[in-house]
Amino acid sequence: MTSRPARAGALSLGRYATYGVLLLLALFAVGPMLVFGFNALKTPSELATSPLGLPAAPQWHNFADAWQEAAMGVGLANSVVVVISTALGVCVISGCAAYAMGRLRVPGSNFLIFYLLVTSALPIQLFLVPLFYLWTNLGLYDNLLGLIIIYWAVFSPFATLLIRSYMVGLPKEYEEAARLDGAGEWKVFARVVLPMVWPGFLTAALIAGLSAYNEFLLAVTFIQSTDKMPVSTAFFAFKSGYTQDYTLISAGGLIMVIPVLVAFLLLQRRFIEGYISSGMTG
Amino acid sequence: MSEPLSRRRFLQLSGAAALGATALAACGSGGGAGGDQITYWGAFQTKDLEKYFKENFIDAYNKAATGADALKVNMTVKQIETIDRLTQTAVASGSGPDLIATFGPAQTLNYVGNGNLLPLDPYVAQYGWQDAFLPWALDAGRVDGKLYSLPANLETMAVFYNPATFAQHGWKPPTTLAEFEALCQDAKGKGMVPVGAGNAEWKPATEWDVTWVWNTFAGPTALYEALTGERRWTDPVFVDAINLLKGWFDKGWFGGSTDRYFTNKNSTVYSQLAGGGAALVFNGSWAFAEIGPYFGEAAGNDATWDFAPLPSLGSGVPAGVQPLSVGAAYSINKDCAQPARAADVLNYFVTDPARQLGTLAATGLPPAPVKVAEKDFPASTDPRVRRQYLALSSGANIGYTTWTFWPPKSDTYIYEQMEKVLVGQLSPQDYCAGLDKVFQEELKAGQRPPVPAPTGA
Amino acid sequence: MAIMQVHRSAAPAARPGHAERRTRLRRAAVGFAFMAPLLVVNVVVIAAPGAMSIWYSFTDWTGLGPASFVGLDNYTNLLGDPEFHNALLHNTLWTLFFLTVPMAMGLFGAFLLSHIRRFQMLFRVAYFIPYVVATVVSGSIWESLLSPDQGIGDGLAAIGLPWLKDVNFLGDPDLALGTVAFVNTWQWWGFLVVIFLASMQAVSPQLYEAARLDGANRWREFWHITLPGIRPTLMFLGLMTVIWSFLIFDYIYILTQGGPAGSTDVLGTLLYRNAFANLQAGYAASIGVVMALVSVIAVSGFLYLRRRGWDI
Repeated sequence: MTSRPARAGALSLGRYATYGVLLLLALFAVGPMLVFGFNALKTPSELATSPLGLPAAPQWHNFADAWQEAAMGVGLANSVVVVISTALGVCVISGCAAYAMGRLRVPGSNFLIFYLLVTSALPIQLFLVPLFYLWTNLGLYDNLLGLIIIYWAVFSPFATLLIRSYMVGLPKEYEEAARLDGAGEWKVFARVVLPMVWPGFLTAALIAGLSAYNEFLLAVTFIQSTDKMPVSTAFFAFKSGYTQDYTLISAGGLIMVIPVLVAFLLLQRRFIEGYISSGMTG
Repeated sequence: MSEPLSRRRFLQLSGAAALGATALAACGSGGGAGGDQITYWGAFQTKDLEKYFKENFIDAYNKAATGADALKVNMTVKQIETIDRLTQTAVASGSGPDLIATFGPAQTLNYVGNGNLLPLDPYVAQYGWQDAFLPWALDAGRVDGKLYSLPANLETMAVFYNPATFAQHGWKPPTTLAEFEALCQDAKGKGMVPVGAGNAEWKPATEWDVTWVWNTFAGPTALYEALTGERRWTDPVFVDAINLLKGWFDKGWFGGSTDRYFTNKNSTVYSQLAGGGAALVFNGSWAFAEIGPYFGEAAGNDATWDFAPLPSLGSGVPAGVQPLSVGAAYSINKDCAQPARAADVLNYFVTDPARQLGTLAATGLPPAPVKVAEKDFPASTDPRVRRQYLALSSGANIGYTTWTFWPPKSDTYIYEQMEKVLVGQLSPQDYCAGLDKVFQEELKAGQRPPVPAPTGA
Repeated sequence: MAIMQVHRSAAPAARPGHAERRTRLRRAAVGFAFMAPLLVVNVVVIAAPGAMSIWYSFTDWTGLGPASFVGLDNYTNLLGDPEFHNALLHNTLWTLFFLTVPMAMGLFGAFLLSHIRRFQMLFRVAYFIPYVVATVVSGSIWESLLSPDQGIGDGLAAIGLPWLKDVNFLGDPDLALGTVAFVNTWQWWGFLVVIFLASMQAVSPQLYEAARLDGANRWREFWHITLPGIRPTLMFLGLMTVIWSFLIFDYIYILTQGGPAGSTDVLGTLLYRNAFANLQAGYAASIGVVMALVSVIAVSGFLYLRRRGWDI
């Protein structure tokens, strides 16, 4: 942001208006979440009579009820496994590929970029049905590892392009110097390049982890057993169950969102810078 | 993901799934660690039902199965929304469970067509199935003379109401078209929803209305003729029935308005009935299993519910038609290594009237279509429920539900395209003509389940 | 693009030809080794099953039994299928909506934010929050807010604003598609704000100074400096919008399942229904191929224009 000389007098009204509009937009973004939070603390009848109001007497037990009925505990534990494995795997897979494309200048890199752009833009439904058969035959169906491998494949193209964009910007003198000192490619990668682009890795890990946590279609297709469901499908199963109690659904939804919100607020710079530096800004 | 610890953890986690995939090979191979079992995938509407089934069917069978050649049943619980698609893909890729559960004989046909199922005829005499089941229900599982599935539940449709609401407005359950329309008019005028209805959670709910209207307006005889190819679906008697239904939706009688119908959930419908906001609910006997929590102590009100037979909407159609529904059926996977043992499990699951009615009394879950007598019902059975199943067991005045007796694509057509009729994008004539096209093709291809002849009142 | 530069050894070797070629070959081999994990998972999970789908699109596969070749039947059926036309129309409307409404909101928010210093960070975080919320959850949030019985309509009516009372956003076939798009916009536009803001901040301040000397007002500033300055970002997000709009599935599946009466049906839900409910996996595969074609064409067009030297 450039620092501009504040324009005097006449503009301060405009400034107030700007803040006013920005506040309204912020209310639009955050308001529905707040209502959702209030709803989680109401009784069903209170929700019906006062859908947008504050809860009269917070029903904290809704969270305990939702936790139990939706099996959120098991879901969260599974999600932790999925998220960490996805993030680590994507970093390894994409880091290696990005290094090859960005630093080693492997022939055909341009085609590969095109290929990655296309595969990350393909409809999942295109390969869903045959993949389902393949996974069933390999014993990877209804198996967290099976889901994680799919996530590796689905999230690594974007992560590769992201990490590559960090690597392309590095001055190559460092590597050349290391190579002249007789370092092998692996050593150059691990000792020289990696330390300089780790923010790219962190960002790729955060984005892949978040995507894996929130992912729905693949999880609902490839995981069936209740004790293996990640939290997104556990919550969906609960939400589309036969009895509909919006207060408990709200509480369950919040249980799912809160870990992400906390992580986001703690690491928001990293998250946001990550999306920005992913090449979307040209 | 590279450290061995987590890999071991994954192997543990995948144990159960691997079992499912390899159980076929292991099934009956003898001596394999934990491999001697019959695999079964179950899906339940609620946790309580799951628990009841596990204790009274799976665990009970396993406890009793102590013979030398006895095998235990291993049940894996799946989600009810996805179990059919899941089973289809798993069976097709050769890794389905030994016992295949479907949502009825129409779905079974797909498996039969692909040669996925074993005929059950060798076991009919051994277990006395011919006498145990209502004859039409067992016949529904036959394809080209061979038996491929056992019916696992029996349901019908009825009209549910709240006696207190009826007393307050001086209504009685309608038995004719005129009475039904007068009641709806009166209810609408009083600001009520005449017929509580909605398909937000379950899109196929729309076919419930098509089913009861056709059965009571066109009547079982006309339906039987159409199902056997002697009458076309473009016949005025079917078109007029759809016109009638569409007119009621347009008047806002169903669910309050057509748009509300699309977003009403089951909970909305039952709550309206309990709270006096809705006059009638046309629903299946499966409602017995889910209606409880909205009435009386559980819901914190003093409301009660009751049901009446369906009214007659057309001349010459007797009141009280009972459209038959078999909403679940069991078959044996052709890859099962121990089919005789699997048949034994099937027999245990569906034939014993006491176990079937015990389940009905305890959970409201519909029993298999086995022959029952008044004395078979446990004392704890809800008298309303007993009344319904005794009537069904009599086999009188039967009708046809679209999800049991129509071929699969025709069935899908019925509820998907009906939405277009309701919003005015498709005329009842074109709707019936479209159905006729789909149906005749499937009929020719042998896709229609066996249909019992109508029995009259 | 940096990637297109020809690699040159930093220190010119005494004998260029032979040794350098060997080094290059060796490095290529190492490079492929580094790419192997990506290629393996990609081929197993995406490319091979994708290729199988293309094959299935020429068959009458039901999803259960064997498949037999039927030539172009599925594709000719698609051309005459009103459900397909309906879904394609909705995808097109969806694309147009997302190219305009959320884009305009994102540009507007980013432009306003770029003019303040205090609390800029805070607003940025607030706008971004919906983006990290899972679709299943934001689906529930809005399902409850848009419910005709206990949603915004009733809440506003209670404080004397009855316009939205009894409007059934997800049940009215005329409103449903717009409503789902709105819910998706709620989650998406804050992301656009953040990206556009970063892009705007990279525009050279001198350009603004010059404009100001010319007496330009904010609107002219936005139109003549900001927009051209962030054109690459706009184009890239435009491309992604087209691609994502043809892939849209989650929100529709969760909120309306394509209903009421097909009014929110898109290619993604049509495909899913055909594959899993109607037992027409071959036909479904042909829909998937059409969806994939849209993506391939969009990406190819974008790269072609970029290679032709367009500044996008």
